[in-house]
Parts: sequence; structure tokens; C-alpha cells
Amino acid sequence: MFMGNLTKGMFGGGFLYTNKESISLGMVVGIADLIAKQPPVEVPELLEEFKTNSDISVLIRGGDSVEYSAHVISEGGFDAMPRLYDDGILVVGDAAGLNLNTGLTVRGMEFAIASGVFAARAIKRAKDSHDYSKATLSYYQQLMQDSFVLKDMHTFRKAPSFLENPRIFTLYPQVLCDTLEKMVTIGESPKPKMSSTAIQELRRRLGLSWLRELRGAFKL
Amino acid sequence: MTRDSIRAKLGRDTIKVDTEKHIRVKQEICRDCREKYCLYVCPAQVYILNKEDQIELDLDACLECGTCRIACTKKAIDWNYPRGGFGIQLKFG
Repeated sequence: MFMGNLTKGMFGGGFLYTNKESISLGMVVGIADLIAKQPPVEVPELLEEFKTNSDISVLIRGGDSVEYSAHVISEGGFDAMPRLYDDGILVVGDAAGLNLNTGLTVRGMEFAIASGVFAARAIKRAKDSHDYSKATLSYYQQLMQDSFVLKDMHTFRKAPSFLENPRIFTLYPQVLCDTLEKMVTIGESPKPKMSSTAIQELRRRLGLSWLRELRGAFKL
Repeated sequence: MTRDSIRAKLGRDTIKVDTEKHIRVKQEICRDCREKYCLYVCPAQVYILNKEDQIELDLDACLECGTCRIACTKKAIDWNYPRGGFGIQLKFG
């Protein structure tokens, strides 16, 4: 996961997944921030710039692009999810809003697979009883509620509003990098304790409310 | 890896073009739209401004992401998925 300059202060970040025979390199950018951005940035160009970042370019040197794709991601979390079942219908994966972005992890694939499995079980039960009414299909909801899918979606239901804080994509990554840099740098003068270095830097960058800011980040 | 042009990237995708247009724009709205977010939010640059300052669509390039549909605050875009069997066919996910 990558955060910081690559999105030019906009909601989002970068990802690099390792597959068996390939890698998936991409970016997520908030549409609301994208249309508010001045001067405007072209989306295809954002990805090309990300690829030239020194941390990325060494990893993909000599490689070839084999496919280019894009998709809108639902970021509303638990509170934005639609009804999952009705007479003759079950809603799974992306359509069910099963995406969970906490800023540190972005999940959805495992929810899509699990919801597909649970839907299949519910459909099998409906088929066996020749009854596809919502009463029978509500079994799907029950399976989802008892599993990690809806439990995790519920636990992190506040994540979308937490991520609306623009400092997460600008100030915080900067402060984190600078603080760690100060902690590992050894200069000419005597070196203060690690904890003092960290607290001093956090106080300097985040202001008097630095502790509250940190606490806010752990609300997740 | 060198910088990739949008055409080169799209050239690697398999897109079966639908004979029916899956996206339509309301030109009368676009004409008066100053922002024209569609021109730069689309990852495939489907939206092009022609010499007459009209929005033209390069539907062969569409990745079916749906960004334009949300970004167009004037609601000038009528967006649908291509019919079954048409559109982008992803091989790597």
C-alpha cells in the first residue's frame, strides 16, 4: 500500500499486489476530490507518474503491461450497504457494497468470494424446498451475519467517515516519514532519546492537539 | 518500464465492441458545461472534445468503470453496461 504524494493530496493511494505470475499495480482516487482538483489532473497520467516513483520504478523495470483496467469502488461501508435479499434475489460482492477501506488495508475480494459461497448455500436450500421467497433466502443474511463478512464490515463501519479527513493523505504520511527519518538519523550533536524525538516532531507538526490527532487515528 | 500511452495500454485489452452504443451524452447539456470533468476523470479517455467543441465518445476504449457517470455533476451521461457478451474481457482480473 502506498500513501502520500502519488494522489496529490486527494483521497486514495496506491497498491501493488503480487500474483503468482504477475503483479497488479494500481491506484485508488476519490472521484469527489478528482473533480474538485485545481488545476485538473488527468487520471491516466496519475498512474504513469506513480510508475516513475523511485520506489516503484525499480520493481517494475524490464516488465511489460499485460492488461489495463479500471473500476469504481463503493466506499460507503456498512451503513451504505443495500438490502441483501428479497423475493428471488440475493446481492453479493461489489453490488452489495462489500468493500472495506480502513486506510491501512483495502479489502473486498475475500468478501466477494465468501458472499458467493453463502449465496450458493442459501440458493441450494431454496432449491431443495422449491421456495425462493425472501423468507427462505433470509438464510443468506444469517450466514453473512455469523461470518467475518458482516462482522468486519460492522466493526469498521466508522472507517469511511474517518477517511474523509484530508490530512490522512497529506500531512500524516509526511509526518510519519519525517519522524521515522529523524529517529534513525545520527548527526553531529548528541542524540536525544527516541521517544523525545518522536514526541517533539509530532508536537511540532501536528500542533498542541497532537495527542488528540493520534487518538483519532486509533478510533478505528 | 517506460511511460505508456493510453492507446498502447488499451491495445493490450480485449474489448468486443457492441454495435449498440452503451453510453450516450446529452449534447445540449454538455454544450453549456464549463467543467467537462469527463475529459480528464476517465481512465481510458473515452471522452474527447472535437473541433466543434462537442463531446465525442470513443466507446471502443471504455473499461466500464463507471467513473464518468458519477463525476458528471450535470447528469448528462446515460450510462449502461454493454449488452451481454460485449465489452471488456479481463484475463488477469
